[in-house]
Amino acid sequence: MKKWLVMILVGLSSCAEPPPEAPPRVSFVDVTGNSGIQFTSTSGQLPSSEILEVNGGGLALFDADNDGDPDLFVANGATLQSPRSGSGSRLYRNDSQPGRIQFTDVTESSGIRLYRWAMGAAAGDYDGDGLIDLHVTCWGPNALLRNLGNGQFEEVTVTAGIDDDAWSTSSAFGDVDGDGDLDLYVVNYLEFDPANLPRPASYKGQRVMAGPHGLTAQADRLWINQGDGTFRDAVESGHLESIEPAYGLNAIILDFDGDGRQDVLVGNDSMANDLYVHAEAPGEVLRLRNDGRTSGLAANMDGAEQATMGMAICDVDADGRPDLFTTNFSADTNTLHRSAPSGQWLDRTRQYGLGLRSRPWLGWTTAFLDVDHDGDEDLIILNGHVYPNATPDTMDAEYEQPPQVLIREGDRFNPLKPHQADTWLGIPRRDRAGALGDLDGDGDFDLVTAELNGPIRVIENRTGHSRQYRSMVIHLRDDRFGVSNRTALGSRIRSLDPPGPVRWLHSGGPFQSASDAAVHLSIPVDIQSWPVEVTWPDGDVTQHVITPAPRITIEHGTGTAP
Amino acid sequence: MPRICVILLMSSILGPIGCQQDAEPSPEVREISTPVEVVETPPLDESLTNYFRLIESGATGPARVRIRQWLDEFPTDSRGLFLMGLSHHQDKHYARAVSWLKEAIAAKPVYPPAWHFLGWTQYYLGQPDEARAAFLWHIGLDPEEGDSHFALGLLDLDEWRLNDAESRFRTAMSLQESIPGRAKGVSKAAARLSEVIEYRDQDVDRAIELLKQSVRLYPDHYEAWYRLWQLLDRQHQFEDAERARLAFVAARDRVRPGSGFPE
Repeated sequence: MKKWLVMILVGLSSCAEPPPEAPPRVSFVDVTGNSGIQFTSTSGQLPSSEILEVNGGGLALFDADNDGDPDLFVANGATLQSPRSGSGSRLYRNDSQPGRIQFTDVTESSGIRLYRWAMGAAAGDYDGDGLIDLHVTCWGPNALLRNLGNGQFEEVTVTAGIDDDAWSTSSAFGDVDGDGDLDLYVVNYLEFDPANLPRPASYKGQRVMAGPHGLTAQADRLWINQGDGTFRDAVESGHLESIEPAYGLNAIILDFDGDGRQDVLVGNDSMANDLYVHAEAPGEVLRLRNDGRTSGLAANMDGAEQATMGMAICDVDADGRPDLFTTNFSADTNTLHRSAPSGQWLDRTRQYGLGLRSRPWLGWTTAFLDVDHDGDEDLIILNGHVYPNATPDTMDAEYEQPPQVLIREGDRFNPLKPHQADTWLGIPRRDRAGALGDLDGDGDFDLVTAELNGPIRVIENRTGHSRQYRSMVIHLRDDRFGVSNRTALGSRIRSLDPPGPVRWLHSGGPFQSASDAAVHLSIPVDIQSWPVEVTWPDGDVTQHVITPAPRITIEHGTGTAP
Repeated sequence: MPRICVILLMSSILGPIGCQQDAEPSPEVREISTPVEVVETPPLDESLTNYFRLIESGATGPARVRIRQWLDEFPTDSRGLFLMGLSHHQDKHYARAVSWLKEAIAAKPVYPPAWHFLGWTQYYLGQPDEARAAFLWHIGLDPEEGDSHFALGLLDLDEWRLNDAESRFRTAMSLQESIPGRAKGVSKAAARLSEVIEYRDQDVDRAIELLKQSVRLYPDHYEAWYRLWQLLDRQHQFEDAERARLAFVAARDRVRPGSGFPE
């Protein structure tokens, strides 16, 4: 018999044996229509003609009213004709019930009057009053919105001392100096004056909007929390020699080098990424140095500096250390850096199947998430080109591009093929920002997305939970005296039995957005009491035995020392 | 039916039959589609040689004007169609290049360079299965072409078939070592082979040796310098690492690669 015929027959026979349990069908359903959110964001006009218009506005899922579920902030932009006065950002209160996601627009009653060109958002309790505050990055002055309780906010940017006129894209909260309160890293992009538009550039022989190359980069700011409601600039305070100007797009604050202290990773657009790590000895005054180049995180494995729009953290190799995935420009690949015990970060994109097939896509928001509830983390990526004239013929890529879900199978992340009935996956859009959170309290993460000059979409995760794994969402709470980082941004949660899954709870990452400060985990369903270990942002380690449930909050004081 | 058509038909049949899963065809299936005849590349005549020189010099626009005139006269000439595709490939307009290269192949299915560049264009478009098929066709027609073995090694590396990748890179090196002017090809293969050695064998010292060999053969290979810097740094050979870093910066400045971003 011909060899190929044998192969066909073997293949057909293997189809006849069903697997022991089929994995749950991954299902993300666009439920925007019944969600109470009917909002089209503004970021200039379509088609975009200037770089200021292409990022779109970010999102923040955070518990604005302190009722235990994530509410939604939408950072909204303006237009080139009226860049300082747009239609305003929005706050939506989460009124969801099990089985139904529902939001109510509470912008008016919240006191949020933010009409400038807003770009991104970060959430954190900077003043330690138990209420989560909001930092909004803007083209022009940023906004620190202090949560007053009862769903009310007031802008305190100037009194906090962090007013800055740069074009800021993203920001992230974290306890960088280890004093128990949240510091703030603000990522700045470039100088752009709508009244003095730059000359167009060229890409693949096409006339395109200018930038970022050719435009003047701006330096980021690290603001150190003084504990009295004000911040001081880290460079001016001598904690950092300098922050070089760069086209910054994203930041994550986390202990990247495993020394028990919070570092700052900055993703820069087509420039080397920065990694600010601690250079001071324990007990000494905070002193940071930029290890971007020596760590290997500045570039991909060939030394190419990439666009780095989205950033996501996962322990892909189950060694307990964080690994980093970044989304990049089209005609380039996305990149996965694995952290090695040596402190170096090794580009292992190919090993995980994340390289070559990503070349057509221009990625923005990304996040690891156990989509199919099988215990390991899969990957979500939102895509869309920046140039309206992008077509396969002109730029080897489409302008509108579909979101992707990549399922972890062994060492590989394989793209999930959309079903005909899908209302979200596989549909080309101009997606930019996205944030994850358990909107309906069912123990998995749902998704909110922002399409450039398009609708805010609420995407419910209806993936069936498998019979083998139980899915849950975990928040942390730290009410120790002297700690104002109540939601424990910068923590690490590790399963002790079964040993393995590690998740990090951090600020920054997706793209100009903040996911709810929680982690999602799936554990074998037969586990009734589950031992976990939490490494808190200050390096303190506690162990807890928890009873699995869809929503869990681990409080610092309830644990024991290891 | 010509043998080449039979083979094409076989590979198209093999796709839809089976488990209806998304699993990629196995390497064995791919090898079936490889023809075995060695085919000479037809020589370019003087005009086409001039157009090729224009493309090589970066004057792709003027080249296309002349090739278009040639194709008006000889619309199915595979060499003209190939050069049109090559000109778009040179401009990094890969989708455009693909359609011309496919036309060249349709006009003359046994035209080795068209298969080779079709492979690279599909590689850069992020279509590894199509790229692999094209490269396999090419080495079926011209088994001695090291660069297609190198490309197949890259595809194997991307699919994490490290033993296959090693075999391809070693073949690419041995085929090109004795050819004058192909030091760059050997250098590229040595650099990628170092990745296999590092990942699979965890032999960082041997990987470093291969990278040193790579940059000796082709000192402008800035990607290899970068990897050498990183590996030396990992091995705490800090002085050598610093030298490699400086060499990386110098090589990159010499080559001035397009950033891939708008300029």
